[in-house]
Amino acid sequence: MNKIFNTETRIPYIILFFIVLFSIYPFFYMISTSFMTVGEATNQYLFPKKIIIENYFEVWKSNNFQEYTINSLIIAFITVAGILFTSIPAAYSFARIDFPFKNFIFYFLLISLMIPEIIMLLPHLLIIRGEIIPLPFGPSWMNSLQGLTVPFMGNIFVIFLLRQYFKKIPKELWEAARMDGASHFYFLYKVIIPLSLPIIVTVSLFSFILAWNAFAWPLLILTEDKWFPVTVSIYGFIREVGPNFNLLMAACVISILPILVLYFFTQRLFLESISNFGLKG
Amino acid sequence: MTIFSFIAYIVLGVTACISYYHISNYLLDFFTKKVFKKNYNDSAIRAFIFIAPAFIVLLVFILYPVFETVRLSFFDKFGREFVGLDNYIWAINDPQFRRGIINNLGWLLIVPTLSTFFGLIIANLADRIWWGAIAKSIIFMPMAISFVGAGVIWKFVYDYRGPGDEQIGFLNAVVVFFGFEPQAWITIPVWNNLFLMVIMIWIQTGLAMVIFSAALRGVPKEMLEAARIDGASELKIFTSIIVPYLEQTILVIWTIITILVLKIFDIILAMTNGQWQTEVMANLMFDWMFRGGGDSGRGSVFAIVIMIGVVPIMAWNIYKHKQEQKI
Repeated sequence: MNKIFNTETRIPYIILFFIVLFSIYPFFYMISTSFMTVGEATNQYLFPKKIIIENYFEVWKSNNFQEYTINSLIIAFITVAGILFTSIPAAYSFARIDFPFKNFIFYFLLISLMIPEIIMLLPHLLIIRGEIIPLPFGPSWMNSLQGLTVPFMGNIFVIFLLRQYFKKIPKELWEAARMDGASHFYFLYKVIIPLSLPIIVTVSLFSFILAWNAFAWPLLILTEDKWFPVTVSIYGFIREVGPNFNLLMAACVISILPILVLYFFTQRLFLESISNFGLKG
Repeated sequence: MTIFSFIAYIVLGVTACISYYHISNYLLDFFTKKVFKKNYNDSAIRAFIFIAPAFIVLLVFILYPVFETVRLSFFDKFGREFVGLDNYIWAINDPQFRRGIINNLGWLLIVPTLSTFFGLIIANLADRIWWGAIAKSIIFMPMAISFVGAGVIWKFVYDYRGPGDEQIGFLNAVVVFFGFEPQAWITIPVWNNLFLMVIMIWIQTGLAMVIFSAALRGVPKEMLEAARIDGASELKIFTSIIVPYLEQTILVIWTIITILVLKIFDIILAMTNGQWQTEVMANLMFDWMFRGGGDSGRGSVFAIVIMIGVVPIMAWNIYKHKQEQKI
């Protein structure tokens, strides 16, 4: 206890305190402003005199914001489902089955994890337009749900995280299952997946955040607003809204809320998995 | 789209996915057990069935795009005629390209360094105090929000009104409070880049901190105890024990953040759109490819430059991996 009141050790904690303030200030500002009147927002009040929830209703009803939020939810859910569908079996194969060129393929994938996806925008666009290969479900995927979700359904980082987890599950379980005549498929379905729920929740959350926050890609392939996600609509909102910061901030809160709620519920799992990745390198 | 057709899609999709694995599994069982009378449970075919969906998506949407980008950078505006190095020569002589390179180098030097630095310090401090867990949650929070969302929030921190008007931006409010002239922060060349970097550091410090605080648990307690008994100051312990011990982790975090910084785009777009000399490679690429430019050749040159930026990091990672395998 003495140490805390010791001046030499106190200074770093004061610094830490300010860093925390600095981290939370923009959030605080956003939430506080979203409850203000236009006048209060313009005059930079710290707190609203009276909390005005109407801002949220106004944003929610105006500019099709409601639809955009639902769009974002649909896009994120489908992307997550797609990622899980491709990644769980792939990760299982890399963790548990021996096959030719296994390590080569895996490290090849790991290396391609480092390619920034933004440089692939143009080739992706060419594919989505159907100029490279004929696409199932229609000649072009522009302005479509497939176009928004399918390109992100393979995620190497997710495969990697799952593989690390699957590897830790004892080999004896598989030996026993094989004695009973189970195939890899049933073993994966009946044993591995139930045992790996924590990591599956984590990667789902991770993919959900990625899909929810996607910006450049939807901005590019959506020429009409039918499938606009929240991120793109916020970007449009910045220019539209003019001096009504309170509304803009309310819109921001709505767009961030699902992520924050998810984050707080699964925080521990999420942080632990990310940390394990860091330790493994 | 009605909710019914949406549900229909979902049901269809899920059924297709499940039946893919079921049918392929059944066929494989049928052939191996009935036809060849052998139990090939570890067979490679099964592994490839499992990998195929992911592999096809990755092949089409990652591997092919890389080659396509390389090809396009040697072709003209519409990707039809081969023009050799013309696009590259144009880029080298383009002032915006040079500005972008310089800015990107600045981003690459400053953001990973400071994020890693703050992350390490915070992780080190936060694990020792009762409100450390709360502090960590708060500092990690920016990680969860989109870059565009972050851009919107920070736009108001840096906001500027004319000299006579009430200043609504937080930074200007502070500056005015201390009796200085308010500034239009994001329009001051060179310095505005720093203000944009602050946003990225704000976001990435959380990531660094989380990974470090897990790694810190691996530092042997006896070593720290021994150092304390010998009378080493906390600062000395930090620089001589903790930092060398975490070297590996520091490099990993450095790699992750560097890659993130290379593709920095959303923040610039939301804040300045590259005006006032804040251009970076990714934003230039976006401009030349899709907005105004419409030139896939020149746009691809920017993409290639970003890719070249990743090569040293990749090489280092492969080298490290090979070394680990030797041991």
